Amino acid sequence: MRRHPIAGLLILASGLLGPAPATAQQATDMPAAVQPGKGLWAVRQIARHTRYDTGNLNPDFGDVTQTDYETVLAYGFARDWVAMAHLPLTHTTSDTGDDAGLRDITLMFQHRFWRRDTGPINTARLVAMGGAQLPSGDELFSSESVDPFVGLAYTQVDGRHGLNASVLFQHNPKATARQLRFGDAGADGLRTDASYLYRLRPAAYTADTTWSSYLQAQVLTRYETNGDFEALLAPGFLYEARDWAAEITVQLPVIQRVDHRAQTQVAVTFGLRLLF
Amino acid sequence: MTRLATAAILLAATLTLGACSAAPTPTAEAPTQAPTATIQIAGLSCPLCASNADKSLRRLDGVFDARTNLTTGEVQLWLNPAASPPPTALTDAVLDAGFTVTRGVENQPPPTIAAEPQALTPGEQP
Repeated sequence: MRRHPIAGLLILASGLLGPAPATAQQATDMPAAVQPGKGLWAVRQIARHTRYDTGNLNPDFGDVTQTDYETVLAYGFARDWVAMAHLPLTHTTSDTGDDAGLRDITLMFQHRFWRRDTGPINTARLVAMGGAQLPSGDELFSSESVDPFVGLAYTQVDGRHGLNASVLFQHNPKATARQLRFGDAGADGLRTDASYLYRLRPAAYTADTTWSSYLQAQVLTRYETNGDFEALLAPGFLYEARDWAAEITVQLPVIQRVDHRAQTQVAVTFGLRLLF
Repeated sequence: MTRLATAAILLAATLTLGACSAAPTPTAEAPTQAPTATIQIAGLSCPLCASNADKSLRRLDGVFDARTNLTTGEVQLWLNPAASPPPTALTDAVLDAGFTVTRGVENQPPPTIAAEPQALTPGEQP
């Protein structure tokens, strides 16, 4: 088993962080036009277990399982501006053994440039986002290049119904040592995601409401300029309280034309969010 | 070197969150006294979103507590009658949280005017 010396420390630190925070009626696996207010912190901790089939790259290769522990910190530094950092630890298991390390770190800004609030609950918002994935220095999991990205996200809440849509383009100049995930093959990528959330309970808010639960359905598409295309369906459940939220989704491929990286078989995501 | 920087970032984040967790929080129980002011807002979306408004208002000096009613969008405020923040500070806090103010602050208590100290005669206890 090959384990980077710092990985254990980072995993420990990640565990000490405990549940990670987040905000709003936001689908689990995609960007949304929600963010903490000025002067507030949101922390989100995501654990995602993914099984990849690498047989499309080499018939002799077997399945690879990867578990990511991603901490997302968001801080509202101005009325409509948020700075965010993603710190992704990862662990893979394959026929050749186990590896752990640090994937590239994401630093980004998000700006809410349009908002229309039409009722106590109802709202529609648009944000622009931009940033870069910075090399972590881990030769196994880093692309060792600066990968800039830009995107837009839209969120609308109308009573019990929530909609999210986002588009994000990322420039990926270099491939990583292992081509497992979207972007690992060194081709520019376009993500287009959409989701629908239905508030299960309560059917109607009251003055005493302190929590709500949602069913979510996401459609996640990944297109890369090398011709790879993947579409995944990701149903899930979201529970929100006043200061925290918990979520779970399962990603299942519905269309896969992927020749330059592994094919996703299934991904299960657990998330916890805290608002400070 | 990069790993060292990453570890430093993570450590800083850990300490920051620790500091955030240590911040005082309002009582879990509803205040026993009636609210002293209200403000109406829109775009709350969900309980977690509404918490943004409550937290932004509670950070103001002179705000004891703030509780948002998701049904009506009305935020009940418990203000310090001796040093309540100006209405513009309250509406700014709501805007900073990312919501729209649909009705400004109502029922805010007027600031208390301190009585002029009276001169004491020799030997008199204050």
